[in-house]
Amino acid sequence: MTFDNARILLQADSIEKTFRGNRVLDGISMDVHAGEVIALIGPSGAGKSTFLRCLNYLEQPTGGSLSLDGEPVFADPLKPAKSELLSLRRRVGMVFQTFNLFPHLSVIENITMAQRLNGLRSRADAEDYALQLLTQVGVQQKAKARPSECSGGQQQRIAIARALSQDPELMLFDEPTSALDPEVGNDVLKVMRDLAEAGTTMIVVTHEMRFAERVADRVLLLDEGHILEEGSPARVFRHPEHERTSRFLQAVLDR
Amino acid sequence: MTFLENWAEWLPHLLQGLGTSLLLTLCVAGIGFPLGLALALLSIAPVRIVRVLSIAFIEVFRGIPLLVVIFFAYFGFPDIGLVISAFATIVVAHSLNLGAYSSEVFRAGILHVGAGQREAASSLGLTPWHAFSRVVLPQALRAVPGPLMSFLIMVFQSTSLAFAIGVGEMTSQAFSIGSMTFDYLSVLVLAGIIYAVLCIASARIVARFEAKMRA
Amino acid sequence: MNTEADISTLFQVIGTGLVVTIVMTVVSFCVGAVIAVPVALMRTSRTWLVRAPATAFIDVVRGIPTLVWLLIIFYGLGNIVSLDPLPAALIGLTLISSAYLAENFRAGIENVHTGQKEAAAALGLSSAHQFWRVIAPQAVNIAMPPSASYAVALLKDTAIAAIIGVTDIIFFAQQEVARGAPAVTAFLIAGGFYLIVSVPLSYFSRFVDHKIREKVVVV
Repeated sequence: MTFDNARILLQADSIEKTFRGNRVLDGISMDVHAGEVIALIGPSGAGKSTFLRCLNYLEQPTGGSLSLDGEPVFADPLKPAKSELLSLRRRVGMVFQTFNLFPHLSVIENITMAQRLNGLRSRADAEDYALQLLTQVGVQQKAKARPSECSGGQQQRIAIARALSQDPELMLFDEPTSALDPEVGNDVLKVMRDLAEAGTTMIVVTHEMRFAERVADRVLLLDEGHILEEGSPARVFRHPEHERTSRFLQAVLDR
Repeated sequence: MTFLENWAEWLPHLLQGLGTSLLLTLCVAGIGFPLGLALALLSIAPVRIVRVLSIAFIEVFRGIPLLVVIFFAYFGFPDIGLVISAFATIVVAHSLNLGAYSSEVFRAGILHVGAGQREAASSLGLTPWHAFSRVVLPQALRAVPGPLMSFLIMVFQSTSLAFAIGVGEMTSQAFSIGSMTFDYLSVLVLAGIIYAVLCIASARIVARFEAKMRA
Repeated sequence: MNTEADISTLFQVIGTGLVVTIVMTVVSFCVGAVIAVPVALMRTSRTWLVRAPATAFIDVVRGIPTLVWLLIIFYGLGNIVSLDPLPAALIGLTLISSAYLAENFRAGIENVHTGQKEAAAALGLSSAHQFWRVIAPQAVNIAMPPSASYAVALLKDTAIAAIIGVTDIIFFAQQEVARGAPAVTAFLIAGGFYLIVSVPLSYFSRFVDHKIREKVVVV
């Protein structure tokens, strides 16, 4: 699939992040087309997660700007207004490595809370939608349970449902299977593949090279805060331009 | 500026009282902490009756106010033919209290040392006593200095209860100056400031120490 | 020698102080908890100017012994406003419990896993919703066990009020001893009355601790 004619949903323009004088992101630019699935790969410490978190401003970039649907997200990217932050985060969903479900709420409350507080749906509609999402990710039987009563794989699928409940235009996944055993991780990857096939726009930070190869439309390899290699999975995995890329891929495949 | 002049006049008396407070604290620590360690060991002893009795002792002293213990000792000991000074009474009562409290810290420290350490020690053929005294205890004691220092601050504060039976520590000194000048407020506030400065400063030191231990 | 009749009178007289002891504990704990909420919120503020007064309040109140506070309020302020012993003790104990509880609440707020705040933010919840719907409920859970065990400490601290003349358990015990009752018996009875309240309370606090450990994610 190519996206040359598709509309550009998200545009990240020279995103920079400096932590205590340490330059973690060295001006990363990226266009994300509607319906596209992007895999962010690279060695640990390359800045993948930081970059992802800059896209919904959980990390505030120290330079660069974001646009959604051609409109700048912030009037001043260095001084985000509260309303701009809320609107960005309501349009962009995020799934964390450690799930971060709310332990004091039941599974279904985890999914309905933000819908209701953000004025998206009424209580009844929110519950209907939550059940529908839970069915979609295959955890409907746990609706009334506490997160602590669910397995890790179930928790992560619930977290995906929670993020989807906001009707996001874009989903961010931060190493969604790294905290899971491989068998359970596959259930999560299956849900993500279904989402991708249904046309969800996704950016996935991952170490699952097979998932990146099969599901992603485009692979970005980050190294030391910048994009080292970019292209279709076939190109990046089979014909990398850089020596470092081959070495990284070799190291990952050997594991 | 009579306020400041008075303070200058009172300060030596208060500092003299502070000396007594600190001496009390020192004596209490010297008896209370070893007692706490002993109680901790007894409370995990292999013999059931020893365990039950020591845990009951700990629960009782954690459950009744220190002031009750002080009054019991001060008014009750002479009745059973035990005459000790008011100073000694305070030391005894506080030490029992501190022993009961600190035993929990020692016990947690001992239990925190994992079974793996014990097994490793016995697989080397160490006797149970050597396994305990050379392997478990040294590790257990490494975790306790922070909490024990916090206890010390608590003990220092509660030496003020010695006021109730007329040991001349800082609170008593402040109160007797107050009763002579009828200006209770100034002198008590001055004493309060001295307590607060010492406690806050030592709490900071403890916090820094604990942070360093963790690092 | 003390007869059975003497002992039962002692029981009755000392027991009359039990209500005052319980009232002091409950009132100063509950009012203290209410005051502790805004103090803890200020204490966890990111703005230094908001945080500093709360930090100072907590440190200074906790830095001064309970007895000294009660003496300051009862005798020291006596020249300005003359208070009865009980109100003076209630003010002092409430002040102290608010500082201790504020510190517990602060620890509760700060020990909620950072991922929780991030997840709430990522869902586009407003900062108020992030705090009250996600952070606060978990902070309460974390702060509950230490606060329950603080209630036991507070109960025992109320005994100090007898020194300024509040008619609690230990006050009556002391009074009876002054009237010639045997000290060992009188103070054993007084101790017993405190145990009746404090032992169940501390078992309850351990129970709460146990229950909550199953429920919260703590860093």
